[in-house]
Amino acid sequence: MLNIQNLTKTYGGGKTAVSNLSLTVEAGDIYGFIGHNGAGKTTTIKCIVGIHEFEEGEITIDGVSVKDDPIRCKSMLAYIPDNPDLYEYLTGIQYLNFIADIFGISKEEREARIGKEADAFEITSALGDLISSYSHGMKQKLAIIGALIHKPRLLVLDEPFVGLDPKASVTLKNRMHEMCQEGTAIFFSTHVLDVAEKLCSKVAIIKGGKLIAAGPTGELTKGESLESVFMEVVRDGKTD
Amino acid sequence: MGRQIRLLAKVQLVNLFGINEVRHTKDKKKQARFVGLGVLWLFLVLMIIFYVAAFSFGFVLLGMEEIVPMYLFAITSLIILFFSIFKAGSVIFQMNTYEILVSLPVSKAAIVVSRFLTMYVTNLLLAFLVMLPGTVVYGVMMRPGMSFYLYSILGTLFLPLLPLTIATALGAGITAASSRMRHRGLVYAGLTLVVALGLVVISMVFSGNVEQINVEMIKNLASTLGNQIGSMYPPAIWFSDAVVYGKTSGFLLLAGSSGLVFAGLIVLLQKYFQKICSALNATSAKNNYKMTKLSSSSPLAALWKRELKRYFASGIYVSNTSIGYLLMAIMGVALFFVGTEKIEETMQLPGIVTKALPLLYGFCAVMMPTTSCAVSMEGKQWWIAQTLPVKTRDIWNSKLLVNLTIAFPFYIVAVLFGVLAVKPSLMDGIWLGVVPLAYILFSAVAGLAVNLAMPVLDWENETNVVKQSASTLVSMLAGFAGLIPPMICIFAFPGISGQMIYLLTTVILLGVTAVLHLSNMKKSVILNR
Repeated sequence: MLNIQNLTKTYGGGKTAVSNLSLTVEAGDIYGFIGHNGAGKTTTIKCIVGIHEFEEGEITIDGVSVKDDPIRCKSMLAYIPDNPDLYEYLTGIQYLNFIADIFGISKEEREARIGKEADAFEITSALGDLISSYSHGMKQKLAIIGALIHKPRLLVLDEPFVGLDPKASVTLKNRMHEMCQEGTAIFFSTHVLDVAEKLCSKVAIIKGGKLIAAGPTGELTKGESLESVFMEVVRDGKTD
Repeated sequence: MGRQIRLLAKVQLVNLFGINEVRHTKDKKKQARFVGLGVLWLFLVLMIIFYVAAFSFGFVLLGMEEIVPMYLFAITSLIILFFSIFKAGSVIFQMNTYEILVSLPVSKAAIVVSRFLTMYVTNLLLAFLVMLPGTVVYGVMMRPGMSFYLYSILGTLFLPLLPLTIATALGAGITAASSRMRHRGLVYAGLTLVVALGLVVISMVFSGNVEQINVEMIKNLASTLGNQIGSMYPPAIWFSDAVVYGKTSGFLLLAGSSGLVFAGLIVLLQKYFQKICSALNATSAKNNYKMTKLSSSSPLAALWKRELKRYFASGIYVSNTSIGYLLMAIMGVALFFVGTEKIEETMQLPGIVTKALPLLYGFCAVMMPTTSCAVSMEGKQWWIAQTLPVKTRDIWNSKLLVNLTIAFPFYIVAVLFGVLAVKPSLMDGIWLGVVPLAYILFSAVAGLAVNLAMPVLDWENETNVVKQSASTLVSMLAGFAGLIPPMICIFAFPGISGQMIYLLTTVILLGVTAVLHLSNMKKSVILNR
């Protein structure tokens, strides 16, 4: 579903944030992307979702290049950033309705999906209030609902569990499992190694913009904890 | 408290004009843009210096030298007052650092004073920019004593204090009045516009009187003008007394009154600062929503509706970008009720309003299009537009549509009342409709082009984007550049047919607009590459 080949991204100041990175996320994968702060996780994600341009390499979603046909790619994916800066001057329901309009979702479908997801994340009663009145966690929930509203085939999340209350975290994990069973590919970055270990079918470790380890979680950990594997490969910088 | 003010002011001033960011950024393009903008500012500064020097030189030649310091002082104060009203409230009560600051062991007065100081410093630069050339011209031609220079410098240091204090008081009042309302952005914009237009009316009445005096009482012009300014703004008289006549009492009056009013404001503001900030921070969450039937729109309509909501949510955005269009409508209505003949008689220029009205409307249209900062206003939420599966041109068109939606009602009123007031021939009537429309389209498209070329998305306060960004300045200059050639033709060459000038103006404007529009539509959502 998501194929990244030899991705290199260099910023205006000359800093190479991601170097020659390649990985593939299949339909049904829950793929964890882990690394230190500044390792290149967010930059990679922003290249995938069309926020950053990149100099070298290729990113395709279901075989479609994000450079050649960005609109088709964007219609297949959903993105949730680490800090959900949403349109604060809209109410929650206005924001979701706006997203539904953009994705061309019928009235009946949007009402059903918004109702279902908002109930699951326990945010329905707040949908009539301005987003500026929301807490960080509520904004995160709204961003998640906005991302799920069009049933994306690829879900890209940047640190999705930061700011969520425990119950919402569980709800999100359950939704991720459900979506994965329906064939959605999920690619997300996280610092929380426990979550990655329990949730992900595959993980990739990035350090200094380079991918240093990737593969099915079980094969990578070989019975050890993901934390110890992570510390080992980050220290040695070697790929198995 | 002095130390607290110094530290807080230092943090605010360290990035004055974005200097700190440019010093530390590794982005070469950002540095190049800063240099480019610096060159533009230098050009503007040189123009102001030249204009003020020539103006002062003329006054001295006419034997009205004592008017120069007083006149420059009054004009600069009025400019500072007018422009500060639009931003004072949002600068003093800026919310982005509020929670961090109130949790620190600093007094509220220190926070207020430090924020006031940032406005004071920028306006002090303006004050010196205007006062210095006049002072030099006066000094070279009149050879005054040392007290002239001493009081000129000291007086200029006090110049921004009073207008800024008044503007801050008005801005704070407007912010406080609107802070508890759900649609506080709109209320803030409405109140700001009412106050600003009140100032425009006062200054128009004032300049109208001067024109009449100019003809009737030329021999006593200096003293009459002095009295006029004095009755309008006494501090200008005090400044003049100190500078021209070496009266220490004049300086003491200026310094004392400015200091007192400033101190009074600080005492008041520190008392209500936290209350107003809390009200601004407070959100009315009812938490009682129940799912109902939802409406649907096309992507472009959804983008346009979203853009309109964004526009009306920001008081400073609305007040700054709608004032031009509002003035256009007011001009038309005023012409209808006052009568063109009366205005032309006052200006001693028969037929000029009738002939130049399309350009006067055009001047209002290009003052500040909403598009000049529409992209920047997206700020940290720009990621949403970047990741939506919509054609980029739909995003840009939604911003253009909002500009036209805002401008159109005012344009209709202006043209309707303009036609009723001027009673033009068919062709003149057509130009009265077409020329301002061409300027509205041109400034909207050019504003978007400029903002796409120099967007600022990492801002913390809307004031940085609306009032202080390169994009709004360059957009305004681009608009004026499209206005100056026909203005010169109309005013300097009355023999040239007005209709010919308007035909050429319209063709050129629409041609440039079309080229810019096509270029805009090719721009990517990935900005700041």
